[in-house]
Amino acid sequence: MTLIVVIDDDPDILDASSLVLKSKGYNVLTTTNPNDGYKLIKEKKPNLIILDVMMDEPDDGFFLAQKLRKEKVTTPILMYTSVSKAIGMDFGKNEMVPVDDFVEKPISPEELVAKVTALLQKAKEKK
Amino acid sequence: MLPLIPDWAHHYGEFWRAVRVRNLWFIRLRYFAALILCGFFLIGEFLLDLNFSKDQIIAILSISFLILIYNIILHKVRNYVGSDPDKFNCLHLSLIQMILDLTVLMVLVYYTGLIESPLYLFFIFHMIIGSMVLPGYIVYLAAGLISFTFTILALLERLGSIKNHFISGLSVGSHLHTLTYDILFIIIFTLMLFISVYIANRIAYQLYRREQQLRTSLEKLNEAEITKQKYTIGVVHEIKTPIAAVHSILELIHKGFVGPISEEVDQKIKRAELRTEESLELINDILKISKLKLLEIKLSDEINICEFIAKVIDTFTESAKEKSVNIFFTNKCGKQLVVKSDKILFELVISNLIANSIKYVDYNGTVEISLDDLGDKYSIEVSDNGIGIPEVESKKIFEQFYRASNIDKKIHEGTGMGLAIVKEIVEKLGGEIKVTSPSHLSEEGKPGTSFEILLPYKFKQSAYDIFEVNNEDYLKSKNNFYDNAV
Repeated sequence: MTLIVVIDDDPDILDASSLVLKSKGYNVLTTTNPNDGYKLIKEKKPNLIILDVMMDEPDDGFFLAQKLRKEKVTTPILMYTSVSKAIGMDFGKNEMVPVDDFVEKPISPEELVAKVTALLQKAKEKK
Repeated sequence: MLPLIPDWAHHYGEFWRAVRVRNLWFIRLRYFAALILCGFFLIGEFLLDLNFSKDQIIAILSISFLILIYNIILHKVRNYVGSDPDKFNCLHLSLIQMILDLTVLMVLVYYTGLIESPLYLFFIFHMIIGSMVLPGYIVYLAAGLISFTFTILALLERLGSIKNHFISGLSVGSHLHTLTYDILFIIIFTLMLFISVYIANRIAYQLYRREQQLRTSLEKLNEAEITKQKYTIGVVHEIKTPIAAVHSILELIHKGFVGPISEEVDQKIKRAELRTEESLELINDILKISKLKLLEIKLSDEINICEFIAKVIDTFTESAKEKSVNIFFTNKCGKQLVVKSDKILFELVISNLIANSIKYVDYNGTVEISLDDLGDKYSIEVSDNGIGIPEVESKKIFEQFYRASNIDKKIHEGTGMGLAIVKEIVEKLGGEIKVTSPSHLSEEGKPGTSFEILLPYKFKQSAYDIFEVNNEDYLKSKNNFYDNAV
């Protein structure tokens, strides 16, 4: 069964994400702590990771993504951002941000599901 | 290279701009000087019977000609002289001008009688100008050299080694003075030179100090602005987080993810969702403005304006269809204009203006976008036959949060930030924006509005950006500064 780990410091966002994803039949594990999240990823080897950019410390999400990529974890990562689009930041080409896609908050259920499906599909094709 | 520039001015755009403008001004004045010298000869010879000798005529005319020639050269060279403190720069050009002027003046004074020449007073005027422009030690050196050369020439004249070229029409009988007169003259002349330099230099130094203080305060102000914008981004982000979460939760309820709800509750939830969307839009607009203020524009993107506008118009197909709005695009100049600009900013400008027009036209309204080439700049005009803008408010609409009084705020939701963003960007790009209402599309009861943006092909620093960039290191350090700020 497809497992998705969601890490965000906002419990409401976690709640909303898991509600949407579970309704589509995915298994969802959530945590508000990046360290717990890291352990969770190492242990459970999910099919997809969702990270928030800024957690308690700004850029925690970036650092976690960088750390995972350094350790050769190739699991697709979807990143929640909150100001990227508004300030016209183009993360797409940035090597510093080794993630596969972005969703800007507020998260719309349709967009989330569409992006998750697409990323999982792409990962499957790669295999 | 002779270091003529005070350290603090190395990267101070205003300083360099002033030097360049001053150079040009001096060059223009010098054409008059050449002309006046010719005039002096003509009037002296034919009206005042000054009785110039042959040597004097040759000297005066060739000096006029020489001034004209080197001035033309200076005028041409000026365009290629940069503002790099370590290389030959415009301040060195000022120095060269002074050296040339003083040299020809010395020759001219010699050929008009040296001590008897009325033209020696021009030395003093040159000392005053020199002190305002160049560092003190150079002008003192010049004053010393003038005094020295003058003395030597006077001495040689007295000894009969060189000819005295007094203007015969100006003297009655013997023109010779006692040695004491010569010595007194030279002493007073030298004193005069040095005192002029001293006084002018002091005043110039005080002015420079004032400018330096001004510049420091401006730099501090600039940094404070960055801190403020960073703070705004931080705070607004903090506000956005919970609102975004609320929005997500409302959407989940509304879309039935948490189970069935009654029609009435659904209505209210939808309303709440709409209101949170409104505040999110406002938050995003504030973020955009703050980011824009921090942004260093990069003008590396090549943009084919026609294609680009067409692409932006495409993104409005849906919203235009909803209101049956007709969008037209005309390229008045018929050329494919390709410019270097910032794609993201450029798109923000065009899309904000089009979105605005669509918003404020009636059902079946018209939005017309036209592009024109105006020589050194190009114009993009977005016109509509919408509700228009009351004339008295045409300036205020560019203020943040301002919404025109004729907008029905219940129908047209908005934050009043769109045009502020557009203006901010257009100014960043060195252009200007004009608004006209009624527009040329106006109809009965629908005055319409027309926004015209004029952007230069060649980017110029906007007036308030005093920190012009002179070299790469500075550019790098400045970029780092901004990168860290965001």
